[in-house]
Amino acid sequence: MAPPAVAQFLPGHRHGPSRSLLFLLLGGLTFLTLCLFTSHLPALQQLTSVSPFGASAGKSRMTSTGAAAPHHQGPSQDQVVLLDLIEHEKEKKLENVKMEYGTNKHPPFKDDPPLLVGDLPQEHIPSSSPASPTKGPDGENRTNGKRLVVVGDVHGQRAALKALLRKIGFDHKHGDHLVLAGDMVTKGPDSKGVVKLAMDIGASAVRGNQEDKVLAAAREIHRFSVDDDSRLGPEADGDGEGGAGKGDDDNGEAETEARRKDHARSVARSLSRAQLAWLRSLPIILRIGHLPDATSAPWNASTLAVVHAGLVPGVPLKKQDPWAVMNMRSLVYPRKGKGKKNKGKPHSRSNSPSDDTTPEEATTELDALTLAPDADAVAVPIDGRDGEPWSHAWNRHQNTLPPSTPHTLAIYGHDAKAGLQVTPKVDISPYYYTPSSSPSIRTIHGKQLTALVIEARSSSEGGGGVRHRIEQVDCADPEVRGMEDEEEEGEGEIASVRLMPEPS
Amino acid sequence: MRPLAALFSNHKVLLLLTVLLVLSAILSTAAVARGGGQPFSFYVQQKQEQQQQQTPLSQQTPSPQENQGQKALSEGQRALIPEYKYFQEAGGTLELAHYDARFFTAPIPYTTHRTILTHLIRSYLTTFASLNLETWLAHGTLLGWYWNGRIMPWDFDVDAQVSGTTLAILAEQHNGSVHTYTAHTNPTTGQEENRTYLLDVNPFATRVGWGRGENFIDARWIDVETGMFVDITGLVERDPRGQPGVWSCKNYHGYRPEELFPLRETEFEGVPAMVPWEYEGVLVGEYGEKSLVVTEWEGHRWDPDSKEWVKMNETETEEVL
Repeated sequence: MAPPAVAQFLPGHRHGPSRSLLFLLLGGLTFLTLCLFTSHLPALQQLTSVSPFGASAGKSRMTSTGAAAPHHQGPSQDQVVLLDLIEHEKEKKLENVKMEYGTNKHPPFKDDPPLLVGDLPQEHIPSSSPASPTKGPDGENRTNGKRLVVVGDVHGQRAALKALLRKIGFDHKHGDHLVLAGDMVTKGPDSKGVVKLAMDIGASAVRGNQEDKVLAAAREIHRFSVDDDSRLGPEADGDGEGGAGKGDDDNGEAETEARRKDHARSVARSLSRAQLAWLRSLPIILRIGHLPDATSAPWNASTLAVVHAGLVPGVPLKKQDPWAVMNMRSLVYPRKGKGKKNKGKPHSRSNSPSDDTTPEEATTELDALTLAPDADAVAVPIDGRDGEPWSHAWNRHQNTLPPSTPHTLAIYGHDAKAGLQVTPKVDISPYYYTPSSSPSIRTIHGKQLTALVIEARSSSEGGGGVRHRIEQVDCADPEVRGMEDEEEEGEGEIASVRLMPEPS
Repeated sequence: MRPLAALFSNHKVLLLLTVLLVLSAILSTAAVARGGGQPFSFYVQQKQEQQQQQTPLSQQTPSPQENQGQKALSEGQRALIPEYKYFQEAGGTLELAHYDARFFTAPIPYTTHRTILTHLIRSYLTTFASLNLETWLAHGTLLGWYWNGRIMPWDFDVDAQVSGTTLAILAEQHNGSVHTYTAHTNPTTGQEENRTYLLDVNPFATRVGWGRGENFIDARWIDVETGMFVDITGLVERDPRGQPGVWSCKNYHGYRPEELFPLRETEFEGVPAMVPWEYEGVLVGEYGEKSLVVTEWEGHRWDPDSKEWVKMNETETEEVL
């Protein structure tokens, strides 16, 4: 060990106590100290802090301890393996945990509509037999409803809506009735005009996520204008530069700016009290009773339900969660894991939808299909597209119902990016837009505003029964032309009709 | 061999060495305990922080005490104050970490802790509403809202978030303020009880940088009788270049503003409360989809009829495990 030459400088070494004891003591202390330091080296710490039982990740604890793993720092390479292991453990654990969707009951929102499910008045239901003439509001004799016109996602395109109605010869005084499937406001140029038009012609409508947001924005404006409007800047001068100089500090200013820029706020500001009240009164689900003339699918369903986004299969209409009905795009099945897609990004937020169809997404959608869940699988609706498109699950559920039980046909809009299509393709939608993170960008890529026209035909007109057709107008140039009419007979098994564009 | 032995058998040298070793052991332990376990990266972090401080700060807000009598510290001076952990908890265990050390007397038993938390959040929400301060529910509290609008019985504390602007107002105008709240302890007999709460703002709350991870709670609403508290965290765009448009607290929970606003007006524990606009996305992002459907958790079972989490007895718990 040590060179013997050093010995001469250190006399008296034989007088010490037990030598080996000292060595042990010193060695032990050194070792312990080293341990303390090394175990807290940042690199090592990452490893030691990952517990394979998931307890360290704040996510697995449904408490508010707030010690969650850093959100925006991706896992390091060596952690990935461990995280996968943890994920696997968790999935195993989840197989035994009891789950149930939809039994929760959070307190109501201030803006909840008076009725979750509204019924379309009987007089508007298309019927070929004018057996029961009723007095119309304008005093003239009127038969039952003639045509039911469903339009989704108008998004402030008043001119296009007018052109579309003109094109189909819509006449609300003679039995035609318009139903708007939500999102009639925001993004486009004239939200107020669309609401006014809808109210003028007595249209029915359901609340979409955009109406919901406008109502909440109206409340927000009200909250801040009551006592202290300095914080969000003066409301009166709109979205302009009014509050720029008033910000207390850079952060406050940026925050104020970000919130005032929100498009929903300016729409909310533009609407009158009566218009806001009308929006607030809209149901989340519009139930249309059985069409008396319908003989074949899909129109012979016992109930048609117009919703903005979707419905969770197996849950009665009255028990549907309003948020889900207005926002959902797909269903995920927690017990099954999330398929391959989420492996790479465990925290992927459901709410950053992007309208680009990448090949990767296409394959995972197929994955979701091949993972076709059992009938009793617990499904959670999300507004992203990470799961199975809800309409697939809805159709599957409806088609497995025994023929004697009531079937429900869902008519919906919302998801501008068409995934796999439901047959037959009843595709009524408006345009592709980017629900982008920056509200200032209002790109409307697609150009058609689409109507689903449901019409009852008497046998004298040939065949009888209920027929539907699709009518479209070009948003950019509504006066000039419409798309070629296509007419198709409903056929086979179908349980949902999407008010959607063809994927181009 | 022999010379080394000789060296160590010299009593003075031996004593010196032992003392040095013991000292270093103690120091490293202390550093670890204090600094969240990064003694080696301490210097680097400080440097980074100082760089971050050069970017425009949010409101520099001296506490009222500092304001009286002497000139408020300038931005630069303030940045020089070394960061120390401001809020001290009663202990390191999961349970004790949810009591403020200054007011802690004894752990609250399961049977009463939920009542105390209920008064805590009610007083917090109503006081903030009356002061026109915007706040919304977060984390486990938001999850409790989702299930039945109540605090989950196994939760130890309550979490709320505020915007950076509101946090600045808290620091500037309300730090150290004491509030009394009349709690209706027994609705049938109309029995009332005055409870006292302290609004305490972390002196490092308005620093934009993440800091050393000791001060990620920006403010607390503390029940001075028990030491239980509402954790208040402020959301600020902390890294405009790296993560533009992401508002985050110092514990790395990030949100886009359109995910939070407009807030939804609802209720929590029977008083008006607000939740983020995309509450479902926030919950799924933080706790996963399962958190919305799992009906047995932490020894409690969800009763769909009464809409309450019911504590399972021990045999049941064992069955589940």
